[in-house]
Amino acid sequence: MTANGWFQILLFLLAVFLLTKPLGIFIARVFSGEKTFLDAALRPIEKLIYRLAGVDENHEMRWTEYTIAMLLFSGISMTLLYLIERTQRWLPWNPQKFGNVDPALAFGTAASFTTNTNWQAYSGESTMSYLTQMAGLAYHNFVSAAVGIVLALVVIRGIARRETEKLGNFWVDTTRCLLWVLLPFCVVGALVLVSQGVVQNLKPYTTVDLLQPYAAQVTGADGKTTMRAVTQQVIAQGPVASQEVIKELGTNGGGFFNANSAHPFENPTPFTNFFEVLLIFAIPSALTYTLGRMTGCQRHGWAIWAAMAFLFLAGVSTAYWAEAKGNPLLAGTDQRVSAVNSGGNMEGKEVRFGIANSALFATVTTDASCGAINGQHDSFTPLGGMVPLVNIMLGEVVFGGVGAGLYGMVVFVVLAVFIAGLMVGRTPEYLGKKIESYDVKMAMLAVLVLTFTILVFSAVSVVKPYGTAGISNPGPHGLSQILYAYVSSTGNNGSAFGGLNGNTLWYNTTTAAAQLLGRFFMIIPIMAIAGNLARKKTVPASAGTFPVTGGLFSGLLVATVLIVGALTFFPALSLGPILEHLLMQAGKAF
Amino acid sequence: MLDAIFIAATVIFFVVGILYVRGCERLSLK
Repeated sequence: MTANGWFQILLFLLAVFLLTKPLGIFIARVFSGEKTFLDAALRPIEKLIYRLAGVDENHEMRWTEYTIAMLLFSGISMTLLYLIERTQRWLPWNPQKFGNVDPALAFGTAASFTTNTNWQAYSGESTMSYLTQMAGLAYHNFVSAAVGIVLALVVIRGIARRETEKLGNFWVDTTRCLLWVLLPFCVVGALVLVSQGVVQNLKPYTTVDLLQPYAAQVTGADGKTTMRAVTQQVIAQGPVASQEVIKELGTNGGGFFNANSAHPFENPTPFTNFFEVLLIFAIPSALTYTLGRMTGCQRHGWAIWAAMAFLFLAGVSTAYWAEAKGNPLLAGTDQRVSAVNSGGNMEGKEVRFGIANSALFATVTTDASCGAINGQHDSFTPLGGMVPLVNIMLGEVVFGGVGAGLYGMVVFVVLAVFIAGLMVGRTPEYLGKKIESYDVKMAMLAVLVLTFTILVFSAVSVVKPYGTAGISNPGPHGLSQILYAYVSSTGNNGSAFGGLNGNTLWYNTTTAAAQLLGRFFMIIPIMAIAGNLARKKTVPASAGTFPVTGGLFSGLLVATVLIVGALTFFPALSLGPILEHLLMQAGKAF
Repeated sequence: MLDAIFIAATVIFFVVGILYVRGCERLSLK
């Protein structure tokens, strides 16, 4: 590890901290109907949309109506994306003449982008037309992010409001989120990326002559291998910058190119790398401030932020330490840091970014439900690769996905105050609302659906031939590959460990099922908690009330997150990355 | 054929989701 590496990591955390308050205030103002500097430009557009769509912006919904509207919207959007993929051959903006996407892959991709997962069992530059990328995938990048944010706002309203059934209007909240929060920041962000060299065009791919032709081994249809001179290269391009910015700001993660943010057209400079990781945490971090502001308890928002920041630092420290230490099996190879050597384990990492920025990116993208990558997690050391895996297993509540991180963390808050209440023998309270059996039941349903989905699909995949067929490195590493696929899908992260062939009927359909269950069947009980909390009276705090501010609460919250995650997944981790680490120390690699 | 299966699976999933919402609501009223 180097001082320079730590400086960049701490600078990143400082930037996140400085963004939290202004962005949090802005989001609170947007969803409270208060004035913002964008009103003059956007309010007429908003009114026109409501008039065209027949939306009554003064109609507030109960949690059930709100949730059903969200489900219908998501279901119809998912079907439309599926149809676009299946018909892209006949649709415009397809200069490369790509064929229609296969049914299983189209279904998996539709589920993936609808759920904000962006798991990609394909290479974007060789599978998806520009129309599919823009009207299908980028559209979902915006609306799935907006859905996550507005659901978090409903949870905040549920906590803040009292003795009411009304929690806002799904159509109004989503429209305001798109118009005020996502689109303006993405327009500015895309221009920033273009200024750094991220491409943005609708041109066909360019074929160029290589400066240094080379001979490549090619396997023909008959299985025979021959040597062929390669003299040309096809340079893929397209509307990348506009998709890149929402990929991070909306914690979507699906890259225009297969190499994602390791590709120089997606992430060309150290500045864009810093900018992209900052975009990932921007909204999730700001929402903690929004929570504090709208519930009238700013210290509670900061207490949650502190718990998240602690877990982030623990993760990035472990990943950075593990990767900087290098690979013990390469004893005799110079793995020290020097002016000409990045040092540590550089396998699968971009030389432009090095160890610190690869560890930072891997930690941030899995703390949040983003899934963008700038290096291959599959090539991390066993303990370094375990960090992204554990981050997702914890429920991606370390800042987390846009909205999803906050409402996921609220589930842990409910459990934490419930545990605290049990310890002191009082009915638990959360910001003046009594936490009762229904709230805890719903919280447990939200936690269990993730566990159940991940472990059941992983267990079937490791014992069935159609599951093990996708593994590229049998042994504990193979278990990690399968486990990561379902953890990433259920957690709606979307990053791939790499090495697993996920483009099969089994993996396309089961990862899609995991994504849908992990997204919507987690959301429903959380919305039920929000609806139930909103109905309750507030009770004044007394000497026996467990405070949800300060270090004790943050510590209990961190412990709750870690204990639930550790108890659930430690057996699987011990057979995967932990065993692989021990075997690596004994001289065996996978 | 696969198209019909996948579209039907999507519809069924979201219908089950709506039933899940109703189930959670009924549980809260008990």
